Amino acid sequence: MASELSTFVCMEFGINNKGWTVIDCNDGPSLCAVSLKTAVRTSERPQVLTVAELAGQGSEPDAAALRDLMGQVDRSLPVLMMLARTQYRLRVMPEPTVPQREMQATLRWSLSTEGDSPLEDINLAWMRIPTEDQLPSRPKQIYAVTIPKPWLTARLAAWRQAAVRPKVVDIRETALRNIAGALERPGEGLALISADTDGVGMVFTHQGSLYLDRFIEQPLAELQAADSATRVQLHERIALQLLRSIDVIGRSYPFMPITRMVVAPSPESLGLLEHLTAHVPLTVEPLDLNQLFDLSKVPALAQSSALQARCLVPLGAALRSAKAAA
Amino acid sequence: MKAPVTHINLLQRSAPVHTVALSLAALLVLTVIGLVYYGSQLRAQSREATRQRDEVAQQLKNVQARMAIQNGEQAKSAQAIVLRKELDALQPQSQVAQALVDAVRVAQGGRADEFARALTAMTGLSEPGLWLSTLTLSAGGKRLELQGEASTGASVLRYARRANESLQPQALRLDSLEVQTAAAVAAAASGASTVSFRLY
Repeated sequence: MASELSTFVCMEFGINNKGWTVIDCNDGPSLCAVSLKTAVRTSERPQVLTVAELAGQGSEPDAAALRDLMGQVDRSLPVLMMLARTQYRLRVMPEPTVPQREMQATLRWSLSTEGDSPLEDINLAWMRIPTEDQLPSRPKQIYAVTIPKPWLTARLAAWRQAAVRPKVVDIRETALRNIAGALERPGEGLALISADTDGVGMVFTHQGSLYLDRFIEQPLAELQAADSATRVQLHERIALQLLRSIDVIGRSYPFMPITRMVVAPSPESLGLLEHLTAHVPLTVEPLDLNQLFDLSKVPALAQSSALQARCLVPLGAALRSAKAAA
Repeated sequence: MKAPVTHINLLQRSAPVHTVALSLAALLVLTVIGLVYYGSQLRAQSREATRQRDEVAQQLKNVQARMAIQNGEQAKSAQAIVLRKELDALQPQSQVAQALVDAVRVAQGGRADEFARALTAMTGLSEPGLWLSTLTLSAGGKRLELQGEASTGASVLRYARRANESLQPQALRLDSLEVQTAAAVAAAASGASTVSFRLY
């Protein structure tokens, strides 16, 4: 009985130590799912158990596709659903100076004045941008994430039809933050650059926490079709945005100098890593997923950069309970 | 010190639409469950109390029965004591009767009538504190001798006088009297001074 209660509490609050099966419903050409076992020894890496990709699905896949996908992954693990960027809104806002128990209500009131949705029609989550230790006099800020509740309710109903009952619904920035946090060295600030079919994302982390995020919308299809000159312009645009962000970090968070950036695998060979290595005065490194994950059970993932790019976000999301292992 | 990393979850359990109704329903269900439980407890206690009452009533009946038996025994004992006292009181007369029976046994056959008359005369007399031990009729019914004991000499004299009055129709008379105090040991044992007498 106590074990069941403990399991219920852990599931209810998205706490889980065994691992996760993550389904990524991004606005891309495929639906992706991974099963990651995080219950490993401290010295070992989380083990990727299975990877499944289903082509031809959008951000709201039908029940049959989900059932098909779930048939290829570990159903015994709790399910975590990743949302597409278009399905939620992430913003930075001042942290209300209210007691913790009143934070949700206060944020709801604050956000309801900005949008058209009534405050009871949104789901809200938030996380601090921790500066109180390094900059105690600086006004505190938080990341606030909102999604329309009616939309999520409808999606939950659709997922239930496919026997998918997620325990957690998460966003892409925190998934990438988990990857960057796992790559960090003590005391450093790290930039992780990743490209997907919608654009190029950047997250800047320090001590595992997310301090800044940027996303440059640039459909992969356009990039593939572009000539070399256009592609260089895009690379310069990304590099410029990166440098500006590093400048913002330097001015806003001087305690976390960005000295290293890691470029994640891309769906296509875009030449981004090479361009940044040549033009950004920082250490630029390619992301090696083998450094973070045990890929011995999924050789396809170990060998395919495109699949690694597709699975980067779900793998990062599955690290939410692998703090000790990662 | 590294601050703990916050993980978010947008899947938040929203409050039920009919919170109040569900709360009231839950409260009602809990109340009913509580009442049922309380009722069952109450019934169990009532059954237990009834059982204890019946047991006490049964015990009371048993005690009453035992008391009745004891009362009866006590009553019987009281009657026995009364009877014993009466028996003790009748003991002298019994002795007199025994003496008479003995006398009858030793009497000769032709003198039965005289003996019966003398006996009738003697048994008609009663003197408190005096009892006879021997009644002897001899000389063809012409001589009567009485032996016995009395608490005082005066009672002996009174008895002698009344005996002569009763024997007058039988032409018998007791002219001689011998009185002597009972032995000291016997007197000490009885706790009172008695005299033995011989009347003839």
